[in-house]
Formats: sequence, C-alpha cells, structure tokens
Amino acid sequence: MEDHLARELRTILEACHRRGIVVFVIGAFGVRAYGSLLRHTLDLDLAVERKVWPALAEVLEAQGYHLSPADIWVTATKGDGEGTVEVHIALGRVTDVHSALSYPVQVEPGTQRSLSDSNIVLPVFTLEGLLITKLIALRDNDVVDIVALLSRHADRVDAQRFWDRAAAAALELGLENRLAELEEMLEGGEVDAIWWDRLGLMLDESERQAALEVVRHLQDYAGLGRP
Amino acid sequence: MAVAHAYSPRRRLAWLARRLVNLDGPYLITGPQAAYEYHRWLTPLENLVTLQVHAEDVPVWRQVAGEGCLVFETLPTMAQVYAVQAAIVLNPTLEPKRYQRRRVVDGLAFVAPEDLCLDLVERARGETSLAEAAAILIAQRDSLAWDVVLDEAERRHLSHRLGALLEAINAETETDLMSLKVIEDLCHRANTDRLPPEEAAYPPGRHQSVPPTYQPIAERWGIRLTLPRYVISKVIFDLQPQWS
Repeated sequence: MEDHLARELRTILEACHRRGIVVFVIGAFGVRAYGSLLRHTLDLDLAVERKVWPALAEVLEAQGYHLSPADIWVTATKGDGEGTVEVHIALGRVTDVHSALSYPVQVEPGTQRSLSDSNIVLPVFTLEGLLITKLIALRDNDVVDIVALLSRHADRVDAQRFWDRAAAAALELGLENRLAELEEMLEGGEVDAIWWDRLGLMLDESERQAALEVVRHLQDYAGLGRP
Repeated sequence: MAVAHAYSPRRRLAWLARRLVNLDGPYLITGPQAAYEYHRWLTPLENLVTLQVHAEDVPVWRQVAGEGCLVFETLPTMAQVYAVQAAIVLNPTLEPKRYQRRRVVDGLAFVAPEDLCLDLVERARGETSLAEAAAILIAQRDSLAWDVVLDEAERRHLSHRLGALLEAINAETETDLMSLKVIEDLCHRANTDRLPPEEAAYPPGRHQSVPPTYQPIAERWGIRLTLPRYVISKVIFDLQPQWS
C-alpha cells in the first residue's frame, strides 16, 4: 500500500525535477522523512509556491490526475473507489484552517531527506519548518508528531532558525502561544492521554522530558532574543 | 483515500498468522489493526498487534514470543516497539459473547466492528478514538448489525455518547448518513440509560467548549460534546468517495 504511494510520489517528484519545479513533501511522508513511523492517513501532501502551481498542475494532469481547486489548496485525484490516489497541494502557504495561522512556502529553504525504509529522496521542510507547520495546527495528530520529532531530534532543533522562520512568517506570537499550550500539555499529562488515544502505547518518560526540554528551550530563546 | 485495497490482513499481518499456526485458543485482534480493517483510513503501526484473550489463557499466549517478537502484558512504549521486529500486547478481557461476534478475515479473528466502535466511544481520551469510531460507522454503515450496536451501547451505558456521535456525523455531512431510525431508537434507550456526568467534557481533555454546531446535539443527548468539528470533518473529507 505505502509502497504504491511511495512509487506515485517518486513519479511526481521525478517529473517535477525534470521541469525544475520546486515542490516540498509535507504531511505524513514529510514526517516519515525524519524517521517517525507513526499512524497516518493514506494520501500525499505537497506544498508549492503559487507561482509554480501552473507547472505542477501540468505535471499532475499529464499523469492522469483530476484537479479540484479550493482557495488555499488543490486536491488532485487519480483512479476511483478504494484504488483512488489523492494528493493535497498547499498553494503558497501551509494553512491551519481552524486557527487561520499559516506558514508561507517562500520562507522555507527546505532540505533533502531519504525515507528510512526505501531509497527515495524527498524534498521536505527543514526540521524547524516542519515543527512550525505542526505547531500552528496542534491537533492531536500534530501533537503526537511533534513529540516524536522532538524526542528523536532534540539536539538538532536550532532555536535561532526556528524563530527566524517564525519572524519571516509573522508567526512569533502565534507560536509562543502554541509552545505555551504544548508545554502545559506535556507537564499536565494531556500529551500522555493523546499519545495513548492515538497509538495505544505509553509515552516514555524520557521522550516526554526530551520534548519538554526543547519546548522550554524554544520559549527561553524567544524570551531572550526579543525586546 | 488511497490504495487501501492492497493492504489486506493476509499481507499486513502475515507475521502474526505465522505465529498463530500452532496456537488454537480463542483470540481477537483489536486496537488499531482491527480499526484499520474496518475503516481503511488511519494506518496501524505495522509491527504491533493487540490481542484480546481469555485471562486464564495468558500463559499460553506468552508462547507466541520469540524470534524477534516480544509479548507485552502491559502497554509498551514506542521505543520498546521500535526495538523489536514485532510486538504483541495481550489484553486479558475476552468474553465469550464478544468472541462469538468475531469477524474472520484471511483466517485471522478480528473483534466485531460493532464491539470495536463501542470500545472506541468508551475509551476516547482525545480526538483519535472518536475519529476512528466515526470512520468505522461511515465505512461499515450498510453492514453493521445495528441491533447489536444498540443493545451493546445500552448495556455498556454508551447510548448518550454514541447518539451524539451519530448526530455529529450527520451534522458534518449535512445528510442523514447515519440512520434516523437508529438514532431515534438510541434516543429511546438513552432515556432509561445512565447519564454520563453532566459536567464532564466528552471526550475528556484539553478541549473544554462545545462547538456551536454541536450545542443542540449536546443538549439533546445530555453530554458536553467538546469534540472539535475538524475531527469528524477530516474523516468525512477523507472517506468522501465511500459515502458521497
């Protein structure tokens, strides 16, 4: 199943590469690129700057996708019934509809990472960019992804880069609030409940503590660095 | 939703099937593996299975361990699951009637979708359990034994919570996707069923306000339905090819 999705993704990325289209893989595959094999839904999520969307649309249509545009994203669909492949493309900004907070694709430099269970190389958001997109939404699945990412990459989160991106996206205040919310959830046991509810597993105390330390470090850095 | 058809239990749980060959005691696959079997929506962790077994059979089921497979009798952590090729969690609460209702797929015994839905409604401590319950209700709505769902919901004092969930699905789809007759029947049963604590949020957790759209539903069923609307609307969006 996921092999099929990975192949589909590889085909799209190769076509984009040939045409020089800069596209980012976000969503479940974006998280998987950082080694987190968690539960996820079976679709592909991409983000592009608006100016390159016409070119990506041509690529997708050439591969048989039907495009359903919305304001801030496009759903590209191929096949039908249970064999349907869906690709969701964020145009210009990765937006959390609920909070209306959004992260502009143009401020994200991106990076390349390989999936651990295949040889496919994905253009993805940097760790800090990925964390920002997860923090602005902060739904239960985002909380689980954030805790998994922070506990696994605690020593790789760069606070300067995080707040630079936040400033470029005008998200400083929103992210400060989200970090405070996450800190409270980590301290009060709410994250343990969310973790159990989603995964059916216990959250290891060392993982919880590692995530909490990074959250506090990011908060402290904001406090020190801002007038 | 994408390419779910290729993800059959025969392939997904081949490692488990090989281990069960020499054990013929009653068991049910529950948890995320069973949920995925019924909704084809949120994938399970591939190397983790929860087996519901009779309490007296636990010593027998410990024998499944070995060759990279670990058997847990308490909930493991992610690190413990990542460290092994396969992990089995034993849940020693299997009851005969539940076993009778099992579904057998590719030779593997799964908890019935009716029981699993109610398990998820009962255990919800966040957004995921109710999202998965909604996904199963939508995906299996034409094949569920609704009389069993109603009887078991009443027996387990879950009529109010299930009724609210069914109505929330209809509110989000703006259709009568969940049968009005079922909801009406559930409402009658809820009148005599024990009411959940009035002050308690459902699901318990960080969300404390009832979304305005759900306010009439919450009042009708006597519970504080604090589930954010995006939870069910995401399920509906993803499963749209199956119901629209």
